[in-house]
Amino acid sequence: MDKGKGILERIRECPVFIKKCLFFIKKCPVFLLLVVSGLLFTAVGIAGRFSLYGGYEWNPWNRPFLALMMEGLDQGVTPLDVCGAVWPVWNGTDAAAATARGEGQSLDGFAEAETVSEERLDTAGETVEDTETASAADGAVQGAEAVNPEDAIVAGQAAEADETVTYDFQAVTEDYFNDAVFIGDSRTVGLFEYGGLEERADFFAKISLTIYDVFTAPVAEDEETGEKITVEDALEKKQYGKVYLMLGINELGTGNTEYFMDHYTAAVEKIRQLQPDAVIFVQGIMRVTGEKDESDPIFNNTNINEKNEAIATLADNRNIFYIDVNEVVCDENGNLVHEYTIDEIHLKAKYYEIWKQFLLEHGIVKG
Amino acid sequence: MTAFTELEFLFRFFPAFLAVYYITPVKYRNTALLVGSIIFYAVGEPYFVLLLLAAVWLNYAVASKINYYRNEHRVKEKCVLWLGVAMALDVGLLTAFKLSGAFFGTSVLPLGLSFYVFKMISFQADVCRGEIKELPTFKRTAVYFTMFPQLVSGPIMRYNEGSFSSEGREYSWEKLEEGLWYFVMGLGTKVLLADRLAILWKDISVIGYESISTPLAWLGAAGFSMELYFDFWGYSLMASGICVMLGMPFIENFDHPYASKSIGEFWRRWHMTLGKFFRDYVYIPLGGSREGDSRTVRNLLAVWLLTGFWHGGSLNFILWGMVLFVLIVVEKLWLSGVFRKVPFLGRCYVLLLIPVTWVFFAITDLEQLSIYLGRMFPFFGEGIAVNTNDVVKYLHMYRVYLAAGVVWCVPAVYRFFEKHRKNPVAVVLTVLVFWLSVYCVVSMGNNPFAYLKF
Repeated sequence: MDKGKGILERIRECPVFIKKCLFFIKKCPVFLLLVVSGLLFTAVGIAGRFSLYGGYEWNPWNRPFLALMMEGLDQGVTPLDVCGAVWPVWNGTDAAAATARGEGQSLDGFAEAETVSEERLDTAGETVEDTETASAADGAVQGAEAVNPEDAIVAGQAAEADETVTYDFQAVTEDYFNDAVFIGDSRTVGLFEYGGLEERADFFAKISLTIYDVFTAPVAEDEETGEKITVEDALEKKQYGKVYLMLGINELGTGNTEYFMDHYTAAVEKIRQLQPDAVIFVQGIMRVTGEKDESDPIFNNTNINEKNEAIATLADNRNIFYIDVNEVVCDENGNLVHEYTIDEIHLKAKYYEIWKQFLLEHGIVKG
Repeated sequence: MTAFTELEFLFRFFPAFLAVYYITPVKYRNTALLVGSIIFYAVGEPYFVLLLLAAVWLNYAVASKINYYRNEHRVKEKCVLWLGVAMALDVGLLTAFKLSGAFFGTSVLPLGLSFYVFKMISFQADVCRGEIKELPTFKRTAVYFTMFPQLVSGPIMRYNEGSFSSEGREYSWEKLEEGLWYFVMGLGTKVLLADRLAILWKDISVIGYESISTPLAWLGAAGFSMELYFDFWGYSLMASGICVMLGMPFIENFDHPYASKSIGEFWRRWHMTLGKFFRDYVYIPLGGSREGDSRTVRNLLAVWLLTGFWHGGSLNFILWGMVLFVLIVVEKLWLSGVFRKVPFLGRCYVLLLIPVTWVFFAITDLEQLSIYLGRMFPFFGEGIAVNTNDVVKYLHMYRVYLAAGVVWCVPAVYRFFEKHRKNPVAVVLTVLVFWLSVYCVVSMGNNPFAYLKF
């Protein structure tokens, strides 16, 4: 009896409750919306924590669950994806709870749950792949092998070219750059803007360009239409005499050197295919200052030097040449000269001249 | 945690504090605020919190002496003497820390010292003058000095401007909502505008000042002017918004200064609580503008020297204060009549000169400062390796933030939103601004190199 009365009373109170709700919605809508959306985002964050956001950092003090959702958005994972990933698990647990009713159903449920955990492995993706490549010790060897047959083809094309002939660097004049193209990240952007070569050479450069997206990012310009096109398309349209490449600092945070070099080698091969007659200059990554070197766990010179040593192995001194601008912009300790930079990474505008002079002293003239 | 834009403040400290504050019976809310404020400060400054507590205690002890001689014994000399002790204590504390930065190079300025010491000075002066009629209890005084919304960057509220007894405040859902609106607007102004425009200023420094074109130098100055404004105004809005949410009045610190018609007016509308502080405790006690032009100039010099020094120990801040002093004197003596007749001229004058003064403020290295000024006014020489198209690039890169910034400087725009903040569209917009800001904070925090992509 009491219970029934309670329910009746509750029903009778309902309008009061609704009135109270309306009262709050009217009085403090922003506050309410923020609280509700905050709780919702937290729920998404918690759900994602056990599925798609598994790899993100969570911290009870300064990294709330809803931050995971924001981070997901930043990485292109929407809350809907999280719902999609969590829903089967939810169903699965439901089914598991109802095991007594039917075995088949619950089995299905578990199967679904397994797919989800696999998915989670995938998103943690890259790191897993990296370790695999790392453990496959022959990664670098594979890369080296891959270059050689390519050279053979080129040698075949350039019929009489002697495979044993190598070339030495020599000083050249600025018109050397008339048929050159520079591919690179913000450092190369700086060379374009302040090196005084913009009239002569083409520049396919963009801030935060990496070896991973160098062919897919729209960083070149179609000379006829002025449209943004990819480096791949641009290199197909026009033949160059020299291709300068400097990439690798943005990549320091992702993947190990083997992983990086797989992509770097492939990129050089692709350039070789697209530009069979061009001299390819692979440039060592410009280092950072000593202060940066000491304070940064990722963007430091130890990591840069490791990559540079690997890049240098690509040189055959016939078609591919390794040049290292660090020879002229670093101090006796091998750190970028402090006065040359404000942010410890990029040359100040007036010092790009040093880089240009270095390039002028390292021309390759065949025949 | 001491920055309002950090996640641990937005989603940990503040909601928790707000809940505790409102659950606590009205009688004990001051205690809650005091404890909360000390926790807030201790997280950011685990050692200097002791200095803060000592300063609070000492100031209260001295203030009760002043009060004793003023209200009970009526010995004016003793009253003034103790005020002198208070000034020596507070000004000495501030000067010692400011100068230590200038002389030893490493700045060890405790968080918010410049602000809470100014509150203490104003409190002592107000007790001595009798503007604070009765000496408040220790707890109320301590709440006034340490209250966390104003502890780190002001506004420099006066004791009389709010009620520091728990019972004297106004608690309501409407107040909560109103304060929240100010808070969200402040958050958006700081995160979505100031922090974006800060990258432009950073970009320009990376090029090296000797290599920027004259238009870019001006764009940089304009960008920095907006950045500084949005940073500080946004912060002040957040601070005052929190105060409103706690049941206190809204303390105005910025009144759309870039819409001013003279530089004097600009400074009455920029960081208003600081301007009022110098007016009431320095300028007017020295005689103000009532004792002839030469005295006025002397008083202005004192105010602007102090203003420069207060902003930072290094020489460029003194220089900045002196530039403003000269501009304001010139304006007061010769230009004010012209500007009154043709307000348009005054507006142009403000918009042209204020960014130049901010360059003095922005660049602490005097050599670099002269290079930058040389690029703004390229009569004395050319730059090195200047790319004349650079301004096009940065205008394009920052066009959204620059345009939004200009719009947000217009008083009518802000007032329109303020007036219609209860409109459903505005409500949704406010919520969007909040989450967009949080998104930016998260994605920046996640990528410390957001300022510097290579």
